[in-house]
Amino acid sequence: MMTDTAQPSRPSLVVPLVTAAALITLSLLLRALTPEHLDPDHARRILGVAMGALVVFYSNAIPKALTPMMPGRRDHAADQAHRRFAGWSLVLGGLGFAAVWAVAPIAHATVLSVAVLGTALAAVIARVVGIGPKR
Amino acid sequence: MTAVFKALADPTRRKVLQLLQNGPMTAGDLAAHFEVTKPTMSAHFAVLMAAELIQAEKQGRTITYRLRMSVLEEALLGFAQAFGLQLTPGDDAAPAPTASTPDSP
Repeated sequence: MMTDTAQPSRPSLVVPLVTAAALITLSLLLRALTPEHLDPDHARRILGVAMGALVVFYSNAIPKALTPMMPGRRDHAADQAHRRFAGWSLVLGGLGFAAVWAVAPIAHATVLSVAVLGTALAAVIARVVGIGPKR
Repeated sequence: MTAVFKALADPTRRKVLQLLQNGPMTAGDLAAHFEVTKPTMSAHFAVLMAAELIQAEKQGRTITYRLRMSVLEEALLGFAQAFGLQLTPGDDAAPAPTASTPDSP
């Protein structure tokens, strides 16, 4: 039987709840500020960049979230490769999402940002189901 | 974050992390890639574990190490490796050997 010498700590709900509350608060604040104090397009850009940053923040930790190794149960090297690929792909997708909302023409920002992040997510899914690059 | 910079400052530890990018490896397999004593390798592993860049799992007398790096930490590793950076002055030397060698292969 395999024993963990460094068991990962149990994930806490505090950070996700605080993050969700911060995002809702930001949305309400931007809503309250528009249109008198803030241009609605700027408000959409700020929220888009914040959501991209959120994707980057959570995706960054994907390769670090390990489960205990079970002998003979899984291909640990492949599992690690999948996690690293997912982390990198979604971090770059999140950065692209934020960048699109920061600089792209506002009329096309929604389509472009979803396309960028969707492509990253599709690459992860393709990799996991075995039709993507192996390394 | 200081622990991460300290861990990435040493070329041996960076090489260990690069080897682990291919998948989990036992302490013996990792040590075979370096011409250093077992206590020195143990000290390197200890620094990497303190920085939470690797995780050790034990089966009997064998310890298997695997990568536990975030995307940002991997990017820092690539940056340090590409430019040969000594991220924290004075940390590039091998750590002092420890008395015990708990990770014998």
